[in-house]
Amino acid sequence: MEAGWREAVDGVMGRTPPAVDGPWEELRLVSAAGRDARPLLAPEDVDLRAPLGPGEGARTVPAPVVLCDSSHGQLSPQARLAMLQVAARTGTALRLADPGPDLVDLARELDVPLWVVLGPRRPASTVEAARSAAVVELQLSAISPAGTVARSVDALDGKGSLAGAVAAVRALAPAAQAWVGVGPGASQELLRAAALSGASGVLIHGRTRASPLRRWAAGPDAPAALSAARRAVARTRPPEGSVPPQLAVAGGLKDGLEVAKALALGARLVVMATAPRIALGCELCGGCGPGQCASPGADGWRGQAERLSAHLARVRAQAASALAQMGCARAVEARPSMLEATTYDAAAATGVALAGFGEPLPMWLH
Amino acid sequence: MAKPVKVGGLDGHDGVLACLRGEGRVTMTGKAGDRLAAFLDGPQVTLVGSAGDFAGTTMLAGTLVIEGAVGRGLCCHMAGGRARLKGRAGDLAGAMMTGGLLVLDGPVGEMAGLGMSGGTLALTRPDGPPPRAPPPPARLMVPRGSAAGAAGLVEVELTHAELDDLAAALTELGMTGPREVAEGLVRLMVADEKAAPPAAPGAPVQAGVTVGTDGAPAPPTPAGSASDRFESFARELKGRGA
Repeated sequence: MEAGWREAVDGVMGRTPPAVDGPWEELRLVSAAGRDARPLLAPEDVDLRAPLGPGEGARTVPAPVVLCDSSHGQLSPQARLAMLQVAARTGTALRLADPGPDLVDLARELDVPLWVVLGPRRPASTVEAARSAAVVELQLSAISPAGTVARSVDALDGKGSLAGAVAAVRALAPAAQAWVGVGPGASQELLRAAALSGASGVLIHGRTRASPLRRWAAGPDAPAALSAARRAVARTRPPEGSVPPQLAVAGGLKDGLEVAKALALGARLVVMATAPRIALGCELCGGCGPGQCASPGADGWRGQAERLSAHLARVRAQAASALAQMGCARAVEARPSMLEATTYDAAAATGVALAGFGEPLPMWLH
Repeated sequence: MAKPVKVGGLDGHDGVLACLRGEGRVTMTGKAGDRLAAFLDGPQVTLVGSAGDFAGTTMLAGTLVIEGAVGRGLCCHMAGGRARLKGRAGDLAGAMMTGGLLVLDGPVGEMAGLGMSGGTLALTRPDGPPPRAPPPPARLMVPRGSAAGAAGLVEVELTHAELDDLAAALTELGMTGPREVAEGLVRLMVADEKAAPPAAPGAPVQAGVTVGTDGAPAPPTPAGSASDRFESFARELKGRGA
């Protein structure tokens, strides 16, 4: 396991201070104190609520964080149960690639907003679960543990349009928000197609440094991928009668400060997978078998749920504190101008102003 | 069984019968557009005519018979049910299948069965070299002798149970002489996979909560399935009223 991640999550859990390099570390939050004359906010003044889509029927979650198992089936059933219980307790959405009928029934009883992924592999149980989900994500491609890319071959038609596939997902689950999930290597053309598809939102997967896949996955880090998506959506006029899709990001987010950075870069929702897994007990060993990751210790799955709940509460508190310092009463008010990049590379990739420079350099403007 | 329904005059309409559930029989004539009977879940659908791209994509159950040609992506991501195409198939027919049976009676485009991780793709009259053999438990069936001369591929005779199942399915799909057709097919495998123990025919690729995305079926969990263990924990949670 990477020591940095352990320390970072331990820091969120309150044990040791976080000190780890990562793509999000190269961005810095700018305090509103010296920027304008608005009264400073307290964390409790910040409204973190976020809708799961732009439509009126979209469900709202109390914080812009989505829990995700994202373990290629490795996560133990107990850890999944702990995650489900925490989601039920906190109202957090739960993103699962293959919920299984038992998990779906339980989530329905507990009124957990489920985010179901229709990826390249679609067991019948996953499609069935999508019918009652709050969000159905059409995942365009997925990277396997072996490093190969599998595509949802029915997503793009002959003209490179996603609209038909999104319409099919909407027909399958009329009550759900239809999202499109793009991989780390998504091109501007693909992002534009996603923006034109009529989808409720686009989930951007950045390459994560914690995953065992990091040596295999191509593509940019999450901040760069998110910035590219934000630019693509801003430059694309949505179809008549539809609104631009929301953005969500996944990849390498460890704590609430990084959630605030993602919100400032344009995301409305943040999907966290590795950090919750570590809170559940995962060691990132990369060697456990299916259903064995984060197996419960002596305190059982309830102990895991308590740890994950504490982790999530700290993330929310950190995000609220960061947004308050940035002068944002609501999460949606965060802007890229409230960030600065500490490295030239991060500034070039994200378009955020380089720390120490008063204005964007010419090359960021085209 | 509900009264059979007939639909005529299709002219490139997209999404016809998409997400249809339940029981019943629908017969259509004309030219269907894209995503005919996508996510089909139960009914028996017959199209006398051609269809566009992604017909029968992500089928869950039921039967789909198309008597004309189709575009690309026929029954891609198919998870269950049975489908048969009598005409020419475009590229990517049966790609990414995880279950079900797809029978192609005519010429087949490129990349048929790409990325299959389950289900059965049967080519009764292919006009070219066989496509890449998928890893078990996915099955690719071709006429006996099709792989002659193809390096690294072996033809494996169907077991009696497989033969019976296939003949029954072909009967349901309206095949003439289903038993003879089934007996003329063999299972195509990569040579070194033949030594591996066969997977149970028709078994789900990814059972319970153990899911892989690379096409390789997850090995069984040693002490009971993950679903079983999860259920016991779920009962415990419900008991506490959480």
